[in-house]
This record gives sequence, structure tokens and C-alpha cells, in this order.
Amino acid sequence: MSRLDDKTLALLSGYAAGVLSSEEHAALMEAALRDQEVFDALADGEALRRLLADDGAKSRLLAVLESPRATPWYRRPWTWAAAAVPALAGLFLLVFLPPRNPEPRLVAEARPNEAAQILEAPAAPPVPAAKTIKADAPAPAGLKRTSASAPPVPPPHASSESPVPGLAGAAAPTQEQSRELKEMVFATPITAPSPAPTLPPSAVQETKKLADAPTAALQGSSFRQEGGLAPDVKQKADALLAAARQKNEAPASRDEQSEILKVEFLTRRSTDAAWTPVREDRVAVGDPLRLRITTTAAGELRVRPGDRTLSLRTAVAPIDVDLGALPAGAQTITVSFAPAPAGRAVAREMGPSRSAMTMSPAMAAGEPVTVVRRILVTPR
Amino acid sequence: MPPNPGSPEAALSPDPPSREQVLELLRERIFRFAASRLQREHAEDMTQETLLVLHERYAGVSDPGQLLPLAFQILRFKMAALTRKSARRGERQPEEGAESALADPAPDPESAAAQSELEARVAAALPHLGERCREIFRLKLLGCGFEEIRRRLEAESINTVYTWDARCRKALLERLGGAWEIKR
Repeated sequence: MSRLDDKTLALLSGYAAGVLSSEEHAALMEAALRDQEVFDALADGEALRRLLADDGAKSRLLAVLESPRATPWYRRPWTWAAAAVPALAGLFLLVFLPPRNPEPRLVAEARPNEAAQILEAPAAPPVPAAKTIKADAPAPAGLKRTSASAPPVPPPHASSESPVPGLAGAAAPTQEQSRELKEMVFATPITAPSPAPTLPPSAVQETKKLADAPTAALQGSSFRQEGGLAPDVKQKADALLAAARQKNEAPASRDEQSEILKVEFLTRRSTDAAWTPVREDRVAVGDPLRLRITTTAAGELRVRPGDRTLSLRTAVAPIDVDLGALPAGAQTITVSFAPAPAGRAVAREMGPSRSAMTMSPAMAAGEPVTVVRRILVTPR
Repeated sequence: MPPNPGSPEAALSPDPPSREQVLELLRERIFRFAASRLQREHAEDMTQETLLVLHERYAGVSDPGQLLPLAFQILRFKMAALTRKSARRGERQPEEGAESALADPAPDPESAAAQSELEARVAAALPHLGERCREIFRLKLLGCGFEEIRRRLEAESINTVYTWDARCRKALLERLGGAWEIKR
């Protein structure tokens, strides 16, 4: 262990570097004469002194000292950056990319205001020409099936007031609808029960205008101002327009509904157990309930378990909706589906007998309806 | 309070020693140093040969500040020559002082190799020193004395710089394995 003090050690290094002042140099030599350890240190450091006396070696050591200091890898920022990039990328993929599990993971958003708007939105005005369609033109299949239980149809608008009844409050038909309307006007034989009168050429031209014109023209005043059609033609056009509109808005038949919207009930007895199908009347209090909803088209799906509303956007694949444990008592679950683009709503309804599917009057009238599926939660 | 006997302050005396006193002290130091590294008879021979060179070639030098560095250089050459001769079979006779190659300032190949090796070791050790040590070493290589270093590093006193430099010397020596030269 060296007993040399800091000044002597510093003078030793200064001597090796050749930077001692004359006083420091003399003091160090005196100390070396009187102290063997100082002398030994000086003699040992002679190699370093000779090295530092070499200008070439001195410049090379200076270059080493003035070069960027080699830092350990954990102190290099780029090391951490290089490690952070794949880590963040992996985290991003983990968080934002959907899992590859074929069973889609449901992300539900409760939007009570929007749901209330949708559920309370006024239905499209009823098509007033059911009888006319039945008499003059082939009605859509769904409409025929439900016509028996249809409620009394409200009286149509007076034809003198509007040449195209039912379109005033409806959305403007698209070009495709206009083209369909044109096809129907010219393809449908106007040979209904009573022989149609021979149309004057001007009436035929007006009818073509009617078919070719967009909806705005149909609703516009120019149509009426140019002198009107013959009453039969006008009635026929009204009937065809109503039929076309009803075709677009008619509800799907019960079989079609079953294909479009299918609802299964699943439950499990513990959190580790697998979800198993269950009859809806077997759902007990406290059991978690999951709805597996299958639709044949993408669209808007809304599930209302009780007071909550889950608004979903579905694809063709089945979607699982976890409703949690249901409380005791009667529980109403409403499932409604509107294929995209929103053209018609498809819904299913289960009556109080659970197994019987009935058509509501609103469905029979062709309105976009929301159908209720009721289940009764049985106590354990 | 008396100064530390080993400190430079203790070595300083009001009356400078004479040449004979210096050589007597130097003889003792050289012998002890050589005896700590060589056999006793070799240490005695080494001391005699060093003093002989100093007496014959540097008869006019009496300042210890000049005599000691000369003694270190001569001693170093002598020890290197002894090491070389010891490596040769049958050539263990010490050289005469007059035959020493002191006139050639250029290092012999062995010394050059040793110096190059030391340079590489120091260059490898310097980056591992602290920032202050690197700066002090850099300033010394630039020729700055301790007072200049004190000003540049804004130290309170020169003793602070001595302390910093002493720690840096220890750190560098530890990095080099405790010795400036590799023992052969």
C-alpha cells in the first residue's frame, strides 16, 4: 500500500508527462532522494515518461482522448431505440390488430340516444295501394302472404292532390329505382281486370317521361303543369310506383328471416366452462347469457337486453354478444337487424308462447319493424 | 507539525546538498531499488555501473533535479541490458559503463517494442477513465502544468488538482494491472 500523499503522486504523474514546474521538479527529486518509495515510483514510471516524451505517441493518445468515448451498450440511445421499435410494433399489433381467432370478438358500444332514435324513428309511410296492387299488378310474395292479417289500410292520398302518392314523405329514389320503375311501367302488361283504354300518344310520352324522370321531376310541379295523364294511366303509374316502393320495403318472409337473422342462446356454469347452447327457457338467474347472432349479410344489429342497447355492425360471420348474468323475472331481449345499405329491417319476434313466431301487423304492412324476443329467466 | 518524511516538503532543505551527498543518497536509492527487483549481486553491480556512468560522463552535474533523471535513464538501460544478457547463455557478465549505448537517443528495438506495447495499453485504458481524469490527462498531454489545469478546471486550489491527479494516476495504474511495464 502506497503511503505517498496525493501531491507526490500528482508530481509523479506530472513528471511523467513533463509538465512539472521547476519548483515541483526540484521538490520531487528531493523527495526521491530522501524517500525510497518516491524513488521507486519514479524509476518505475520511467517507461511512461519515455512514452509521453514521444511526440507521436502523445498525439495518438490525444486522439484517443478526444475521440467520442466508447459507452457501454446500455448507455447508447440507439441501442434502446433499436430495442424499442420492435417492442412497440409488437405492442401495437397486439392491441390494435384483431385476433385470428375465427370466433369474432365482440366490441359493443352502448349508445342509448342513437338506439332510442332508431327505435322511435317513424316508420316509412304505409303504402296505401295494397288493393290496387293486388288487383292490377302482381304483388310481392311477402305481401301476398301477409295480406290476410293486414290491418285496414289507411286511405290513399287523393290522386288529385298528388300524382305520385306515397312519395311525398319518402326518400328520393335512386337511379336504380327509377330504372326499375321504368321497366315495370313498360314491361307490365296493362291488361288488368278492365281493359285498358288505348293510350293517346301524348299519354305514352308522358308515361315515358314519368319513367325516365328522376324523383324530383316526379314530385315537381312541371309534371302536373304539363297537363296530366289519363286517369287510368295515372292510376296505373300510381300502382306501379307503390308496388315498386313496397317491393323495396317489404319485410322478409318468416323463412327469409330465419335465414337472415338467427339467434342462439348459450350459457355456462362457471367462468372456466365452455359456452354451451341452452334453451331460452332454461336460462336461470345468475347464469351468464350469450347470444350468438348469425346474419347472412352485413348490417346494423341492435340488441336491447332490458334497458341497455348494444349497437353493433355485423358481418356474415356469427357474432357473440355477452349479456352477463340476467336478473330474476321476465327479461325482454330485442334483436333487430338492418342489412347494409339500410333498405329494410329484418327482425324476429317470439310471442309469449316462446315457440310460436308470429307476424306483427306492422310487419304485414311492410314497415321496418323491431321485433321482440322475450325470454323468462327462471329462478334457481 | 513536521512534514511527512516522504513528502517533497520534507526533502526540501534550506541548504542544497553537495554532489557527494547527492551521489551517496542516490547510491542508496539505486541499490535498494535494484535489490527489490534483481539479485543482490546484480543489484550491487547495477548500482556501481550507474554511478560510474554518472561520475564519468556527467561529472559536472550536481543538481539532484538533473542527476536523478539521468540516474533513472541509466538504471533503466542497465537493467534492460542485464535482462537481455541473462537471456543469453554464458553472457551474464555486466557491461562496462563506457560501452553503454547512452549516446544513441533512439530506443533499441526491444525498448521500442516495450514502448509500443505500453502505448497500446494506455490507449486502451484511457477511455475507461472518468471524464475528469480524461480531461486532466489530455491537458497534461497538451503540456499544461498543474496551475494551468487548476484554472481550466476551475478548481479552488492546486492541492485539489493534485488530489484529482493522484486518483487518476491510481485509476490508470490499476487499469494497467498495477505496473507500467509488464514484468518479463
